[in-house]
Amino acid sequence: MTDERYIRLMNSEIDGQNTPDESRELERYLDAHPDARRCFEELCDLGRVFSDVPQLDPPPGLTDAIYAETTGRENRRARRDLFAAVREALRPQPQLRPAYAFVAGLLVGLGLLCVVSVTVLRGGPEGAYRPYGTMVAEKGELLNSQCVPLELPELFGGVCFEHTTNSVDVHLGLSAESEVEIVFEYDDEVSFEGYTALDDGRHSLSVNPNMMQLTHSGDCDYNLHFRDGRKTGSVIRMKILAADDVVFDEAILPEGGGGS
Amino acid sequence: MLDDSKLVSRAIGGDQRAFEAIVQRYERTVFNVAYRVVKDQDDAADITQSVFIKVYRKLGSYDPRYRFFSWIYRITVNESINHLKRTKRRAEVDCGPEARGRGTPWESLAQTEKSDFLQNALMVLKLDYRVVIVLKYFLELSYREISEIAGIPEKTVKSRLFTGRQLLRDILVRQGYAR
Repeated sequence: MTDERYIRLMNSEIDGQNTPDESRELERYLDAHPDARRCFEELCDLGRVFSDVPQLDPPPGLTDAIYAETTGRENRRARRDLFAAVREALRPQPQLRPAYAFVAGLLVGLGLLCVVSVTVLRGGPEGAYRPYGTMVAEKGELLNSQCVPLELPELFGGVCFEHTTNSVDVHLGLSAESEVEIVFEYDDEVSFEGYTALDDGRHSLSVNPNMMQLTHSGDCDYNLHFRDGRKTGSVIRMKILAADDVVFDEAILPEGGGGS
Repeated sequence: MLDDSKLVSRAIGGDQRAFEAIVQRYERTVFNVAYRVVKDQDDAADITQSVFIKVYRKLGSYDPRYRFFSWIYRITVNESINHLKRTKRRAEVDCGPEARGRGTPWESLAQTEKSDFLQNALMVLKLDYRVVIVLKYFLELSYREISEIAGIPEKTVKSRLFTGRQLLRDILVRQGYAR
């Protein structure tokens, strides 16, 4: 029967833990005890047995199931499919061209009327803006600029992010019949500095550490300014909530490409 | 390719693509470790899903002083052990490979037979030994890494590994696969 000490030395040898002296001592012992050598070789063979066994593939669908429970990618995919269907349904049809022209003309006219009204009522373009906080005095070097169209059932418009070496500027154009919450989340390197808005007054703002929330309804363009202490740019997460449901959720990366 | 720490900090910052990259990087290994501990592919898939949900929810509490893989494998081992405790499943050992094994050289077995055979042998081991053997042989981790993951001192890792290895060798010899 192999001595307890040599069993320990055999295991340590396999794991590469023996000192040179211990290895030599074990070798002498194995030379003198063929049964022990056989046992040692069998223990060494275990490594070969394990390396012969291939890794199993996870079942198909597991990755999607994980994403659905965590990042919600399936939901976003479903939403994109819905938008695609809506876009397809609204695809312009040549026979309706005169009707499109009429509607477009009407919208442009109404838009101009609104701008003129706001300008007159608030005493010129300066008064049409509602400044909050401070806007950037000197922008850093541009890192990246990216735009995301917002084509949701609850909201229509778009958002553009401009990451520079000291700021993130967000330009929002929104059109929503009912009230929606636009939430921006960010880490400690980022702080909300100020904004301007051209609107009909139907919006409000709530600013907390690491989060800025804009409550909006109607049509409005906003310019939001965040200071960014990270020279390489920071991730800003943008969520849109309608009736307490999250209808949009993207992490905007400084190097481009909306994180999902 | 981004290293774990960069992916993790991006994921903590809200970059969901970074989290998905973590899933892609570890899903297969987590699934295999879980399977080697519980011996059921459906259960291993459930465990894998639970592991990543936990990782996603607790990412903010991850301490970057420790290696990320230690953390995720620790969650995997704990989830697998808890799963076995919940289901109170006995080690189900199929005697088939033993009968087939006698006199059949290891090399001549098909890959699936090798896998089944080894899995049956692993299931004979006590859970404590099985976990250490799986971490050592399938993930090729050091004593220290196994100690971090299993939450036991290195000395205990060593003794469990030695005993587990000895027992496994005995099983293989009995079934005719070791020389």
